[in-house]
Amino acid sequence: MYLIVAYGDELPFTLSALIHLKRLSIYVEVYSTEIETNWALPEIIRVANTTPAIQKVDLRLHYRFSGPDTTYLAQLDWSRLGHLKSNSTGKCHLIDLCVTGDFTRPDSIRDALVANESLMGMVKRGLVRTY
Amino acid sequence: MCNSFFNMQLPLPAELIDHIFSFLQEYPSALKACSKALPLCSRLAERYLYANIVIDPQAPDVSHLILKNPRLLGCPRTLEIRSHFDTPAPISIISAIPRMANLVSLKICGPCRPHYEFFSTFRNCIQQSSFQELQLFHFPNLPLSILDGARNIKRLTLYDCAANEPISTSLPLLSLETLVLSNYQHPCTHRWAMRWVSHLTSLKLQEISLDFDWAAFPELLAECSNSLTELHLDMSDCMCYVSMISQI
Repeated sequence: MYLIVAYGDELPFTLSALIHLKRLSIYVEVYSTEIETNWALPEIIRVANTTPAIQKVDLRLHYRFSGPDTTYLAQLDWSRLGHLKSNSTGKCHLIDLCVTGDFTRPDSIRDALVANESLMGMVKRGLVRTY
Repeated sequence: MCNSFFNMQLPLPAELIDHIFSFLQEYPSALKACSKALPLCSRLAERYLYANIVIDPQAPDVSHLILKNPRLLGCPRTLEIRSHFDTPAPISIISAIPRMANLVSLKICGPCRPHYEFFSTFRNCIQQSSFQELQLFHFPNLPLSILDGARNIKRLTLYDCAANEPISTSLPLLSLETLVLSNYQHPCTHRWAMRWVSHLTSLKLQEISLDFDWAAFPELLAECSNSLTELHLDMSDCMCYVSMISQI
């Protein structure tokens, strides 16, 4: 993710001062060539977890695929979403996850995500909702 | 009922017909048909037919109708004013806004040739008490001090709008609950916005650029840290921008 590269692996802010923040929505675009090396999720998690009162995270990831192949979506480490929890209370946030991409049909992305056991485990436990 | 209908009386109490019409707001053709049943129905239907108005220079009929029928000025609750590159700023409809007593939301897609008369008229119109929402698109030379006096506006959207004046030292009357900043790319815009956000509950940043906006972002957050409950960050264009830098 270019943004993280530009800022030395850290987003240039935290949200710790937002003591009443209940909902955080983040929309990022991720280029397929950057997914493995500079995936945005860890940095988003770090920032989101600094908020003391957050309850819900809307996470929208748009992948700039170079082609219709979405199989590597299933191979990504989606278990990282389980790290979205308040630093102060340890309570997990409810996550609404939306994944879209270029050159791909929504059902192709859905099938790739369903193939990821870790992600589906979180969906079944009610931690993550996909749409 | 049929007889009374043909005797030009309302078949039901006006309040009931008004309530029924309220459900037809999304169906203007049905409302128009109902309005033709009786003159009284026409009057009742007007406030729903003209509740959401779009003024477009390529379709001037609506503008002419509103301006020629003063009783319709009380109908609009939302008003969208569009401009095109080859049309003058819509001063006439902007001047009529203070008489739109029920107007809640105004959206203006930037006139290509805004001038002093436009901004002067606009300054007057945003003072009115019913106003709660203002959306401005493509005003590259918007004097943001105009917004300082808009004491009733609670929701503000600025898309591709920039300040071209120094920050005022006087206290603003504008105190927002919702702010959407999009594609602003001007270092002064966020400093003006910081004046209005001490009670902000929702902040949305879209199409933000790295050099101006991210540097300003922590300051903006600090100003609304005691009230903010919702934060929306659209970082989609950041990557494109830095991508461009990385290729240089």
